[in-house]
Amino acid sequence: MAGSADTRRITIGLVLAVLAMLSFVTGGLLANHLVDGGASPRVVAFYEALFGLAFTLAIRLRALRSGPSLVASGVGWMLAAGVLFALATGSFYTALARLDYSVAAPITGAVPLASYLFVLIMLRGYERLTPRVVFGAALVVAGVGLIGVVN
Amino acid sequence: MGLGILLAIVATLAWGAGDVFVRRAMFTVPAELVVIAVVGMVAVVLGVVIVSTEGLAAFGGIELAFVGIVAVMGALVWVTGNLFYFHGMRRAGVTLAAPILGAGPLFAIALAVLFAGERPNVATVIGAFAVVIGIGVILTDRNRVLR
Repeated sequence: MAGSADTRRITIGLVLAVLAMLSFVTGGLLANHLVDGGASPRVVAFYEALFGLAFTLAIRLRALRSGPSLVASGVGWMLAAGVLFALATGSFYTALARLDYSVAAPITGAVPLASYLFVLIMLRGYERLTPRVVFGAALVVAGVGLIGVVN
Repeated sequence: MGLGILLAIVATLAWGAGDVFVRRAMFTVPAELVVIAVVGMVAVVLGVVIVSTEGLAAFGGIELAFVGIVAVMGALVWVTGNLFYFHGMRRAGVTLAAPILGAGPLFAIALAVLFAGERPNVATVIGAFAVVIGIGVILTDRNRVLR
């Protein structure tokens, strides 16, 4: 019985992960459609964030009202993350104006590798370098390099 | 290397670093607040950059179809994307959920072929497979996580 519940929980989790992945990919494809049509990449990214802010506020406002208050020590990290995400979105949508989506998207597939490298540098003691990770990273770098060279 | 490729690499590094900053912020701040603060900051930074480089006129002349599409994009990227991934990771665990997200490039290529009429060359598809397999190899290595 417990095994069945576990299987169901994991299956639901996998379905949600697939839906999340499809959401991100579809969002990118729509951005590609807009910038290919001549829209400013930065304006597209700005309005996407504005609507994202409106939606997340609408959904999570109640939880925020009853939740714990803002802790000052996290403010700097959040603001820095916002700047980096703005740089990322603006750069990616500008890249889409110059590249096919099928070329730019595989490069951003390397985001988990970039995160891992920054974790090694910034959050020491959380993850370590293993031979398997080095092999995976070599594959990612080779894949991005190949895409860069042929395009 | 073309400017487009360079910009895509800059985006990759910035998203990668941003993810780590978000993870660090969540040590002390609730996840809901982090998402709202980050997306708000993204809008502010891009707004300032647009006003500085393109002027206020860049915000004008927006058609209704454009508004509809960016609204859908905002929901997809910031709501269903992040929300579903968060809940998916909680239920299935990061070692199962993360590689699914890592397979995104292959679906991106499939959608680009189906809906945008793009025809990526064979080397690009091989490169995408190498990226996806490499990310899968890294994310499923349990020995890399210390705590």
